[in-house]
Amino acid sequence: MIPKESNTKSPAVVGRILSPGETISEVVILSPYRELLKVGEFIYYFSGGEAEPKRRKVICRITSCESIKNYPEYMFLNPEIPPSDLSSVLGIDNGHELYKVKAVVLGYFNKKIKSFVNPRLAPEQGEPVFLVPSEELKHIISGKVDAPGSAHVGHLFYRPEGDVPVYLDVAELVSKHLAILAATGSGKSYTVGVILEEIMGKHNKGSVLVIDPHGEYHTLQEMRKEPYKSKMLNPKEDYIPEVKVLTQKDIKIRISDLEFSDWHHILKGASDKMLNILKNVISSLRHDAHIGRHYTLQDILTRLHRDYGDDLRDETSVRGLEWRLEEYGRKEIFSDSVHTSLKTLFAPGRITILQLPEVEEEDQQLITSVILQRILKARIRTLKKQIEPEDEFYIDFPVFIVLEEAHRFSPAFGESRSKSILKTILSEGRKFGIGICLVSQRPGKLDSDTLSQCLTQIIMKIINPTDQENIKQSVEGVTSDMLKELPSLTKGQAIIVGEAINTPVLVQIRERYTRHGGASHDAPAQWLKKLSPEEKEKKAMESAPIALETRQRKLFW
Amino acid sequence: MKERSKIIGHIISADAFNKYVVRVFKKGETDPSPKPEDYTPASFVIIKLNKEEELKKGIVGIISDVMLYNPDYSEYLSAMEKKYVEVFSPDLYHEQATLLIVLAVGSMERKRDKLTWRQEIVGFLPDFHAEVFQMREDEIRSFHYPAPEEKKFLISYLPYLKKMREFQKGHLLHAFLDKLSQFLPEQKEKIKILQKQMDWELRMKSL
Repeated sequence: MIPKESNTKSPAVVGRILSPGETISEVVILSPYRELLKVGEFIYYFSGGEAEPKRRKVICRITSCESIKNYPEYMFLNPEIPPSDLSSVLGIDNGHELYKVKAVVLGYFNKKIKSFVNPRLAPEQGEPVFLVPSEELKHIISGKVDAPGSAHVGHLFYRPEGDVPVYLDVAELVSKHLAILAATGSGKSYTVGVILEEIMGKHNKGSVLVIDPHGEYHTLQEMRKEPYKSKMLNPKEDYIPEVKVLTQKDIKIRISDLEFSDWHHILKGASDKMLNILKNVISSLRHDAHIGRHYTLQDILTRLHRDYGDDLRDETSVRGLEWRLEEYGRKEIFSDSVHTSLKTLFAPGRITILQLPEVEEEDQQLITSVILQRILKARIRTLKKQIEPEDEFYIDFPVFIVLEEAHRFSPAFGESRSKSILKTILSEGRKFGIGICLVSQRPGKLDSDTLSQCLTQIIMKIINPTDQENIKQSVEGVTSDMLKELPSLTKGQAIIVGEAINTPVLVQIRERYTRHGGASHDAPAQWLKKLSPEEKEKKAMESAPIALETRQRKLFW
Repeated sequence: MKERSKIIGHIISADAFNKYVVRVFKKGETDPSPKPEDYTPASFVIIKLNKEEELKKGIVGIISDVMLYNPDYSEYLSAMEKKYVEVFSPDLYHEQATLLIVLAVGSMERKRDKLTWRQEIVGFLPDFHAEVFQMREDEIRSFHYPAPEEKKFLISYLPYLKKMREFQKGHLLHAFLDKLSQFLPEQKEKIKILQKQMDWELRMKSL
């Protein structure tokens, strides 16, 4: 049932206020229009009175809708006959439905501060309630609409596609971090792809690094082709995003460029004494004119033996340090001579995808930890003007780093090499222009402190109760009515909440312009193809002996 | 045009605007005389409202009760055999009657060739002595499909019927629904659900 078209231009009334809710932030509405009043939909009523000179539109978001005129139970006796048929026999047809709708009061939207203000005034009983028009809603939900600094991620789920596009504020994403949480197969990496397409598009031209443990993001190279070019770039500009796909082998950190703080993260389980010895060794090497600026791991080990080899008091610490230097210092990421500059990874208009699919989890943590450590250092030094533009650490633009499988880098239980630097960046990165996007399919396994620092969240289908609980504990703005939605979301639907959007919304994520690299394999289709007559014939052809005629000719030629 | 149904009796009084008392015609008053099976409880009847011979406007009713009327003082003459009563007190004999209580549940009206059936609270009263007819099967069907183009089965008077004192005995309502199933076999399953609910209320809730 839907309201009749109004003769005038005034919007159709979809219900009336029954009463205030249990708190000042809730209202109860009665309405016969079930189809219009979907959970999550936006409605408004007018508030004001003698004390308030102006009647303002108070926006509310529907949190529940229940029928208060139910069919008697006996009408369900024969499942073959719908109760509506039976009520129709008794002369009760359409038009008798009535629904009790509860809505959370967001308040009136203050355009100056781009935020909602709760009127703190209970609504008048019987006040008419209207649906917020799509055009108005678009600007209420998103701070920036199709403008520089915006990212179009999809459309409001309960409105027709295109009616209410949803845009995120990229400045807020980068400064206050983003978390994308979803069960496997619900469109998590697809959504990351959409956001990266936007960040690299004409409105942002960002600088992004993707830590890609599964090798899912290489398809973003299609950002240099159609349809991305015509959809996301300005034809009047010569800007095309640069897409770099690197592997572990392409990332090298020169041993002599590692600072003491880097070693602190690299040498897992090193005691204070070990670190103190190493500090002395490195300091000694740096002051040694014979060694020069670029010392090697072997130089460190030799100097360690020379300075501490005979010291019986520190024997255990020296051996422990030596073992750790051998174990971790010889990892593929470290080199005595070659060095990958941060400027290779980061540049405006460039997205670097660091693929680590065959790298052990601990090494993934190590690589990530080293990169994070160095970018933080670079940004601090650049902003504090401690270095010149020629310096390798000079990065004079904000960066955005995407961490897939974030629970590996900052686990809820146990330690990880990257956990501490990640927490530091999440808490302080805002000041230095380092934005982090944590992506995880197991929020329950992700450190809750880490998660709570991500002030914008895109949450997709999540069934696991532990994961839901961690979201509830760590994510501000997620209400219990939203948590109830999580198991029922379908692929591509997401709840977006946080700083990059004015109010929590249920969004249908838009289609990507580049291919999705993380699509699931269709196992039966692949098996069937392998045993298809065409495939068998192809195999037979490949294994057949070369024709005699050809062989003979070859012999003679 | 189909033949008119058998006449049963005529209106002699009304207890309420929708509850009429019908006296069943005695032997000789009409031909053929109504038999007891023609006016069993829960049967449909039509009260003719127009004066013309053809039925053009009527009230649709349901027989909710049957009473045998006999003036009190006749009880004191019980020693007198019936044959003497006829001789010594012919007036007393004529006071005996079979009375029906009929509840109005709808109406019918024929305008030109269009026959309209309505399940409604009837807004007009019959005159004294208005004739009461048995309702034909095709009429019962039409009454329950008041919008034939929609093929929509309707018994909207049922909740009202259930509220009436006579039908609160439950079994009468059950019998009524049974009859309805016979006339409308295609709606048997739906009627059965309502019957089951009545049975449940009658047998379980009454304890």
